[in-house]
Amino acid sequence: MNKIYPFKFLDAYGKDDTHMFFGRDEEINAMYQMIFQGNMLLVYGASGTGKTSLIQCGLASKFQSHDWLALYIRRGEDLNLSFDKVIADTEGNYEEEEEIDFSDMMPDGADAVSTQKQTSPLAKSFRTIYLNYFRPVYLIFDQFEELFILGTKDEQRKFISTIQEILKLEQPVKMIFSVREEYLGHLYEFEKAVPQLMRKKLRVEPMNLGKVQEVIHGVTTFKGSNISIKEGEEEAITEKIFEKIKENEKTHTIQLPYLQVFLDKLYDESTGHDKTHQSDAVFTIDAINKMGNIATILDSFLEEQVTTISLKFSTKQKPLTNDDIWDILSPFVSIEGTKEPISLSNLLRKLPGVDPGTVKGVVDAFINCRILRYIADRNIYELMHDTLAKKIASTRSEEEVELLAIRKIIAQKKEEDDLLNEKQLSRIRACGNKLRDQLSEEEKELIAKSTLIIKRAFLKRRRNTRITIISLSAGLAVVLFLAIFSLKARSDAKQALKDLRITTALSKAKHWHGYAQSYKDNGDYDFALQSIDSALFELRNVNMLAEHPQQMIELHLIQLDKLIDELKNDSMYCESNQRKN
Amino acid sequence: MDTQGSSIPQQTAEKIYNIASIENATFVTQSATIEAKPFNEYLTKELLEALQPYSEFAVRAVSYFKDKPDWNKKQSKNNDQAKDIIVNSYLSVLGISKLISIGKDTHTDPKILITQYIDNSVQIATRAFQIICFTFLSDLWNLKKENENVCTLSEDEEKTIANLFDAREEIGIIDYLNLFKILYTIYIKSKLDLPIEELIQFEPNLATGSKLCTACEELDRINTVTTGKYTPENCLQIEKNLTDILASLNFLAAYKMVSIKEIAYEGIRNTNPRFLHNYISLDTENKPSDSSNNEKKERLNYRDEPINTDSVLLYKGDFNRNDFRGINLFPFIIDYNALTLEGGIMISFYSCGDMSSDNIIYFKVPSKDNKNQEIEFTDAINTIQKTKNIEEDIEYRIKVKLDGVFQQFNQAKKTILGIVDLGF
Repeated sequence: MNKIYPFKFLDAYGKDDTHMFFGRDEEINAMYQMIFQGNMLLVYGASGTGKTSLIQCGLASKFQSHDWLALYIRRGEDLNLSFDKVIADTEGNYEEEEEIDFSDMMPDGADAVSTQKQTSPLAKSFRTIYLNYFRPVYLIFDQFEELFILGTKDEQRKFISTIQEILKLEQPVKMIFSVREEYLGHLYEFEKAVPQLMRKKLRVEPMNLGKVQEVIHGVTTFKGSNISIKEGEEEAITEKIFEKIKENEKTHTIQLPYLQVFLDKLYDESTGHDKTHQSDAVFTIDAINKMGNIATILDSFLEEQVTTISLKFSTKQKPLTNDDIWDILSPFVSIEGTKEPISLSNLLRKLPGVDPGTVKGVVDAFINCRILRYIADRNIYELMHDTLAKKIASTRSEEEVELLAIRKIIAQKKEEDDLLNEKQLSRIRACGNKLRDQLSEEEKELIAKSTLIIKRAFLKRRRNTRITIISLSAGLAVVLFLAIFSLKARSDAKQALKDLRITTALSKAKHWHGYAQSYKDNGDYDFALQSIDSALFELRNVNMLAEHPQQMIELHLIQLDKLIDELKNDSMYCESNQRKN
Repeated sequence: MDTQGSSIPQQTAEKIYNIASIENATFVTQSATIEAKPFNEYLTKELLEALQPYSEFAVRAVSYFKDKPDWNKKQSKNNDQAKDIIVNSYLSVLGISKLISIGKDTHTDPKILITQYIDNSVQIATRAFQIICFTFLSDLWNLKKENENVCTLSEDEEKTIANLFDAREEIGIIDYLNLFKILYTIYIKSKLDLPIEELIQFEPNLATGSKLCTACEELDRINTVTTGKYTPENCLQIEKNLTDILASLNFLAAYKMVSIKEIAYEGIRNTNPRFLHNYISLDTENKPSDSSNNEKKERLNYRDEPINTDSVLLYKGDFNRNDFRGINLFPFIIDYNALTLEGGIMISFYSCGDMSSDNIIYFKVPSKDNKNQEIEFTDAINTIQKTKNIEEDIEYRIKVKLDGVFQQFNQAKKTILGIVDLGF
């Protein structure tokens, strides 16, 4: 009988691995009950708790093959496109015969025609799938957080709409969403549109010592396993392993991928690096004591592979350092430190300075050492596990982190059909050529367009400022002119008034002189004298007002003098004056 | 392998390595020669014809196919639609869709498929008889509650009925067939209205040697062959037996089932009270292509009078419009999710009691390992004195409901068998 190697390294367990999947019976039974309690189930937990294995191995094992049609959907480049592809692939193609809808036939069957039912394409697809298999469909959206990390708003909206439509279908369709718990908050909008999402949920907790004991006992005792434990040491070994792989002193749980990596490494050490996994291995406490702790193991494993691969692909003409290899791995990790599936073409675009052949070779090498995997039906590559993503993210320089942040901003702006602002453009300029070389034509266009708009806005502002200054200056000048004019006018007006008063006074003096003459001639000497007084009064006013009064009043004074002399010489005036005296 | 028309060789399982790829194999059985591939060719054609009295779609389909010989042997969408008519015509709880699904499986090892097919066929036949027997028992229980002298049971009749209630292992198809016969005889003898009106003049079908009885016996015989040693011949024979059984019980297509999840009382002042029923229909309106039909979904419905809570009804008519006649099959058939206040449905059939405890009864739940759902009587009403918070209230409520299953089961037994209550 072929020996069975029970460890999957960083790969998830599948339906064929049920005989070696241990430690999750409680969760499996709970999940099985919940799946019959509604149309949706949300499975969440921290990265590395084994959500994917729980669904595709644990839950699947509870069903007969004729009761379970699981369609696994990962986001890939776009969740809606991936979903459509999976549905289309499952629908398949029927040959030849025209399809008859018996519900639309005439009772006697004579006028049987193939009809187009007024149903949506989605409803038709699921109807076809149902007729293909006659099984309840389980849509399993694994790594669902990718929709929120990598997906656009439009993508999310369209997906929600699809889910709402699925819930109205007649065919039995259940949906399972597996998501990292730190992204639960992102499901808020989804839950508002689809309240059923959160009704049934299961948290997958990290493994405690008891569960680890179940796992180790299970993998070392199932029929055909090529792993065993030295007799009498099972408990001690389990505890020691647990100590080695828990992250720090205070935690009471471990990450499942660490357990897998540790046990894989332990097997490696115990069998002298048997990569075929055919040798039997006996785990002993001594062997475990010689192993480092998990942080060391994972780090050293990754470092080891990076070093090996850099040496392998390095040539005299083109030396390849470890940093270069880390740079090649970097595009597989998002800025948030999670794994990011990527196609080869996109990878090459992100590494413009690296020979494409070298990139491909390095990628293949990482696949061989189980750090990357290739997903054929979507033609993309991804890290085996998020645990590796964290490590790779930690090797990034500040400059690289800034580059990634900027790239994300550019991508967001592109998606929102928006422009970059000045601050963002400034950051882009600071990144220099290194960023420019990584950008697509569209992204370069966006930057150019944003720059142009900003520049135009600047010029416009400057022009506006000038116009404002000029306008203000002109206004000021006008005001000044008006003020001066006003002052002059005022002055002129004052002068005019003065002149007018002078003229009026002179005129009055002349008139009084005329009255005085007339009164004298009529013998009204008193009135004549009063008139002479009034005339003199007016002349005094002129004297006060005019700048050069002498010229103006001299003649009048002479005339008045003459008149006064005439009075004095008038005998009747004298007689009258004597009588008064 | 030989083609049709030439001499028929004897074939045994050892000569056939991949049953799914056989095109025109011919198998010789003890009772008949069946010229068909296993997995549903025979079943599809025969049941479609048998369903005609109860399904307009079956009539249309048969009419359409009448000029197309061997239509049931060709993989096509129309063939699948015919299968869909069959699946949707019979009660969904029977699980006929599983047989169709097994027949379409091209990835699993044929030996495993044969085992699955046979196991599921036996289960379908058993469930069909269970539904009939439980319908009779529920009706008889109602009649006897009103009038305990409505009928008198002979010793044999009592023994057969008690055999079900006291079983410590699930009884088989032959036992259910005998129970059916006994119950039928009781009703005819006592001139009671049959709870399933289509069973009028059904007696010949229950006679020894009838197609129905022969099929049951043959099915039971093959079922006793050790699992894992089934042959393709067994599979074909089982398919024929099941087809004969379902064809004889084609009246089940006239019925539907519904699970009452919860009933709420609404009585605003100055208005007449009414009852809001939250239920899930287990069967569609037999319209295979009508995707606007939401019969299988959870619904709400007002009625002036409440139906019994936690009912699982077998009925005819239109439940949505309150225009139906039905019978409550609780506690013989339960919706475990309704009892535990959960959404969705988990229909479970009574299986047997516990070997060592009188307080436990088992119900068969749908799962790969055919696990039994245990319901243990906790006497919550008398043992739980006080609850401190809403969570405990809910837990208490569930325990009372599950206790209700146990209590009702025992009440049914006592009433039907006329057992005097000894205080339990």
